[in-house]
Parts: sequence; structure tokens; C-alpha cells
Amino acid sequence: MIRPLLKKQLAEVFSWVFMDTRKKARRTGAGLVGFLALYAFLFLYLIVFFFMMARFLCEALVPLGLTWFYFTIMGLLSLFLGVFGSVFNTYASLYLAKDNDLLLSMPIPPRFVLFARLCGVYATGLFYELLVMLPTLIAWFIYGNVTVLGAVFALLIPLLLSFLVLTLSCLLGLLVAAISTHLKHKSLVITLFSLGFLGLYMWAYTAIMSSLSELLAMVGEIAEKVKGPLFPFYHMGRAAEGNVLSLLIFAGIVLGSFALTWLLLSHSFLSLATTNKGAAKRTYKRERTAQKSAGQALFTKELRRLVGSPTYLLNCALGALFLPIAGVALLIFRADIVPLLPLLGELLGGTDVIPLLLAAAACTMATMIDVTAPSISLEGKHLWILKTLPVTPWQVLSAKLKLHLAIAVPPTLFAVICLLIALPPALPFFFLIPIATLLFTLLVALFGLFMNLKAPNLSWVNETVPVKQSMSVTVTLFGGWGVVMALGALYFALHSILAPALYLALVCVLLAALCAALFWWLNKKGTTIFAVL
Amino acid sequence: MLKIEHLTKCYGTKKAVDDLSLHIAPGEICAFIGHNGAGKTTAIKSVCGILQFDAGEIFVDGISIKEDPLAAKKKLAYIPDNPDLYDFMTGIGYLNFVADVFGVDAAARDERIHRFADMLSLTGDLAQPISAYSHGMKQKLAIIGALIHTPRLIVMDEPFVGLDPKAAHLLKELMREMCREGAAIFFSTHVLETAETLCDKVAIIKGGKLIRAGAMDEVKGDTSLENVFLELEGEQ
Repeated sequence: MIRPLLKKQLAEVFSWVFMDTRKKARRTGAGLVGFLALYAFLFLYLIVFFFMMARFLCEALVPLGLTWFYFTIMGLLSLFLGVFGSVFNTYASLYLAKDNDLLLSMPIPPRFVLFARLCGVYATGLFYELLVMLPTLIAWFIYGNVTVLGAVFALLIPLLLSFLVLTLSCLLGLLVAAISTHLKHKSLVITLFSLGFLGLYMWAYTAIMSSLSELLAMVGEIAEKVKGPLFPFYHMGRAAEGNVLSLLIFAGIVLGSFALTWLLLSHSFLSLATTNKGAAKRTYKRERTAQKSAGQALFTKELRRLVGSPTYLLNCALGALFLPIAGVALLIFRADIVPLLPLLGELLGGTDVIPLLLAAAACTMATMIDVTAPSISLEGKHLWILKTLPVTPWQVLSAKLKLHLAIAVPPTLFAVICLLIALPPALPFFFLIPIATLLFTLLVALFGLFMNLKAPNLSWVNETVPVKQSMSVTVTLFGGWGVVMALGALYFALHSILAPALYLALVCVLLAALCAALFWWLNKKGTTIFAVL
Repeated sequence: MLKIEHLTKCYGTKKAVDDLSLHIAPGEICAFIGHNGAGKTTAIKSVCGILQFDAGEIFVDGISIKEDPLAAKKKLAYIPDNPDLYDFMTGIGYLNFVADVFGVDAAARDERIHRFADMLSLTGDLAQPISAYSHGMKQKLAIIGALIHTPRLIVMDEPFVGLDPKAAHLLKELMREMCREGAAIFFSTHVLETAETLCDKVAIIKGGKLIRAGAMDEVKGDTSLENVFLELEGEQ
């Protein structure tokens, strides 16, 4: 009985890999190879990024006899990424899946349904966790003092850690489900709850990271200080050193907490999954509403979808919160940052590169807003409404674009203004940095829509699939970073013949040309594709 | 009001609708019947502009859905068999959205929303999110949304599924009222008794082809629509 359920769940989780959702058919061999190659590239890119970090920490900590602390830091980072990557879809996958009613009506014990769903959540968490733990192990095998027993135990750590990721994701998902059954403004509370969790975790992680330099100076004292509150991770690190008792303690904590979570989930799953998801009844008051134009109505519809879905909001619009925070942080910590800039400039071949770095930083942050990337897929089974209304495909597409820009432009502009105040560059950059950043924001909006028209998924069962597991979102996010890196590489190729200000002006022209090309494509071919979806 | 001329729609090599022609005059109610997979929904979705078709023409009040889809859509309304409405909106939010897109002014929409919502006993639930609605409530909301701009042609796919007996009765009354005012109605159904008592016209489709169409009395003759349908199903 469990096999078909697992097969269904994994088919749901990995459908985006094997199915061409636009053609509603399996990918061809060549299509699959190309698709997997793209993802392999993105995976490798992140692995290399985390490897560099792991290498730095490994080389700094292992000679000091702090192997356990190396694993503690990387383990916490991995746990953070795993939980952050899967917590937002745990609630939706476990309790909001559209096929819950169907499965529960079948002669299947609810715990089997729960188990199959957890396997999907586990797969997602494991993927994110391995992005950090794989490079952690590789760096340690290369630069660490590896013993045979330590190597065997270290290989077990990612496996054990993945259960901790699952446990934390499930507990948070359960908490959200329990709270949300009694709430009126569910989406808002879930969003605030998730942001609170994220803030708390980031604060804790920053506190640990900031103690690193202190640690290097006062090894014994800090190690003792950290051991207590982080004792599961202390034992995880000690296990990697080959300590059997520590491995048993860590395994006991992880598996014990997962067993307790399983009991809690299986006890509450049926009641939470079948509770009416509607909030307390709202009284209807007859009021005459002002008439809107079709364009305004479509825009409002898009906005309501965004704010009504914590998954969409947290995954595709979180940058709108981070950008102003980053801007204010720049103003506050200006005195600490200013002395670092010349050093950074020298490292990259000259201080004249600094304004370009600032522009690149602002553009990278702008990629964190990907509102358009899943917006076509999110129409899902509602697409018939737009198809039968007297609106053109372009009106529909432009409403999605306008929402992206409305969400992205004000915080981006605010962050750029803060940046210009905190770290004032030469006069031409006062104009060029905002122009480049805004053009880049427009490019991300257009590219997200382009990607989603090329790879829509209208047959999803829960909305985390188009928002978190879709090609369009992944390619838009990493593609944005790719463009920033490519422009950086281009600068280093041209810096002997182009001054930075001239180069940034050239970048603005390039971005404007790319935007114009994508705009033309969306208006001509994009509308045709949308019409036949 | 609705003129379908040689409509053909293929999925790959399979012809889902094959050279279908049908005319419905203002004031007429036409039932569209056929077994599952006969091509009813494909034909209906083509009429509403949801699906693009391979050959033929469809005119709504003289306007080609192919040449001027927006103008044609302004004159029609569609009610699907499974009303998947925007879960993130409230009932009244959805109706206002539809009214805005159709350009219905504030006073007219207010009057129509409340007339139809009162009739279908949905007024008290208009402030609820659609995610909290039952299937029947969504169906009622879809009906109100379809009637809000006083369409000239109403196309419905299994409109009585999920409605309680009172709402089904009221919908039939509404359909008659709309037709008296000059609109035309084209709907698919498996409930042949309803089709027989409600409709002026009937069209029977099998394997994508229209196998019988005409005035209800002419098609069923002295027997029942059920007998005619079963007979046609057997002989083809």
C-alpha cells in the first residue's frame, strides 16, 4: 500500500524534472539531458560557493584542534538552509495538499499518507542540506585530519542531520497548522511567523559567526561556552573526530526527537488535515464599490494572490523586506564598512572598481524579488477565468509585470539611495548606479515572465510546486546572479580600455537593450503562447 | 445568437470535434448532450475562446470569436462544470473583479449582485473567502459572476451539478427569464429530463460529430429524449 503512495508523492515532487508542463508530456531524452545539465550547473555553482567557505573554516579551525566546531558551524548552516528551504512547503504539503480528501477517502491508514508526504518534505530538505554538507565533507577530507573512524562517522552525519531538518520543518509546519485553524488573517500571521523564525535563526547564526574571531583568540573559553547551548552539534562535531560516544549521543538526540515528532504528527494529522481551512465567519456588509478599469482589476487580483499566499510572498517577494533592511544597515554600519572598501578594491585590482561593486551588490539583491517567475503557473486551474474574460493576453501579462515592479522598485530605489548616502561614489555613479539597478530590476521582471511562459506548470497539486520547485523560478533567480557575474567578468576583460563610469554606462545600454528585446518578445510571442496555454 | 460553422478541433491526430455546425437563435435554450468524451466540453470551450480550434468559425451575436475575441467575449458568459474560482479572493471580491473587467458600473453591479445573491441565498456568505465555499456555493458564485454583465449568450457546462434542488430550480427560472429577455443559452447536461422540459432545442454529439440537432419536439417526436439518445448511441 505504501509503495503506490510513495510513487505518487515522489512523482509529484519530481514531476518538474520529467514533465514538460507546457507540452503536458514527458520530456524527450535530449530535453531531459539539457534540463538536468542546467540544474547540475546550478548545483555545482552552489557547491563551489559553500566549498570555498568550508575550506576557509576548515583551514582556520582544524589546526587549532577545533574540528568539532568546524562541523558545528557548517552543520548549523546546513540545518538553516535545509529548514529554510523546506519549512515553507511543509505546512502546504502536509495539510493543504489538494488530494488529501481523495487519499483519506481510500482504505489507507492516515499515517501512511503522512509518511508519503513526509518523504516528499524529506527529499526537499535533504537536497538543501546536501548543498552545504557535501562541500563540508569534501573540504574536510582534503584539508582536515581525517581518521578512518572519523571518515565513516562523518559520512553518517549528513544522513542524521537530514532527520533533524525534517524534524524542525515538521514541528514548525505543525505549529503553523495548529495556529492557522483559529485565525482570521491566516496568511499574514503565517508570513509574520515565518519571518520571525527566519529573523531569529539569522540572528543566532550571525551571533555564532561573529564569535568566530573571538574564538580564534580564546579557544578554550569559547569552546566551553558554545558546547553547552549547542551540545547536539558539539557531539556531531566530535563524532566526525571519531568519537563513538558522541556519535551515539547525536544519533540518539536526532532519532529520538524525530520519533517524538512522528508521534505528534501522526496523532494530529487527521484532525489538522481535515479541519475546515476557513477562518471565523465574516459578516457581509453591503457597500457600493468604486468601479476599476480592467487593468486595475487585474493588478489588484495579482496583488491579492501575492499577499494571500505566504508561500508566494516569502519565496518571491522577501527581497522587498531585505532591501530596505540592507539599506538602513548600510547607513548604521557605514563607519565599519568604509575602511573595508579600499582593501576590497585593492584585492580586485584598484579602488576605482568600488562603484561597480556597489552596483553589482544592489543588482544581486534585486534578484531576490521574483514575483513574475511563477505568476503564470499560479493561474493553474483558474486559467479559464482569464480566458473567458474580455481581456487581451497582454493585459494579463502586463498586470503581472506591473505587480513585480510595484513590489521591487520602491525598496530597490530606497536601498540604492541609502547606498549612495552611506558610500558616496563619484558624480557619474550617482546617476548610473540607480539607472543600472532599476534596469536590472525590470530585466528580472521581464525574464521571470519569459521563463514562466516557456516553462509553465498549470497542473500543480500544491502551490509550493510552481513557487519553489519550478524551472522558471530557479533559472530566474540564478540567471540574475549569472548576469551580474557575467557583467563582472566582462569588466575585467575590458577594464584596460574602459573607465568604470563608461563601463557602467555601457552596462546600462546593454540592460536596456535586453529589456527591450524581452519586452518585444513578451508582447508578440509571449501573448501568443499565453493564448494557447 | 450563436453560430458554429464546421468547427473542428484536434488533439494531436485525434479529432475531438469534427465539422460541427449549430445555430442557436436569440431566446432559445439549447441542450448539448452526449456521452463522456464525446466532445461536448471541447466544443463549449472553443465557443468561449478558452480553446483555439483548427478549422471552422464561431460567431457570437455576429462577432467572430477568432477575429475579435474581446468583443465576442463581452457578449457571452461561461459557467464551467467544476468552478475553480480564485481561492484567495472573497465572494464579493471575485464578483467585483469580474464586474470591473466587464466594465459594469457601480450601481448596476450592486443591484445585480444582490438580486442574484439573494435569489441563490448566497448574500450572507459574500464576505467569506472562496476557499471556505462548498462546491455548490462556488457554483452559485460562478453563476452570479456570469450574469453580472447581462450576457447575450450563456454557455454552461453541466450547470446543475452540485446545486441543491432549490438552487437548481431557481437556475432554471433564471435561464427562462434570460431567454425571455432575448439572450440565448447553450448548455451541456447528462440529465435528459431537465433538457427535455427546459429546452427548445437539442444537439446530440458522438465521437466529435453532431449526430442529431433540431427543435426538441422534432428530435424526440412521440418518444422521450432518453429513448432517442439511447437509440442513437446504439445505432452509430
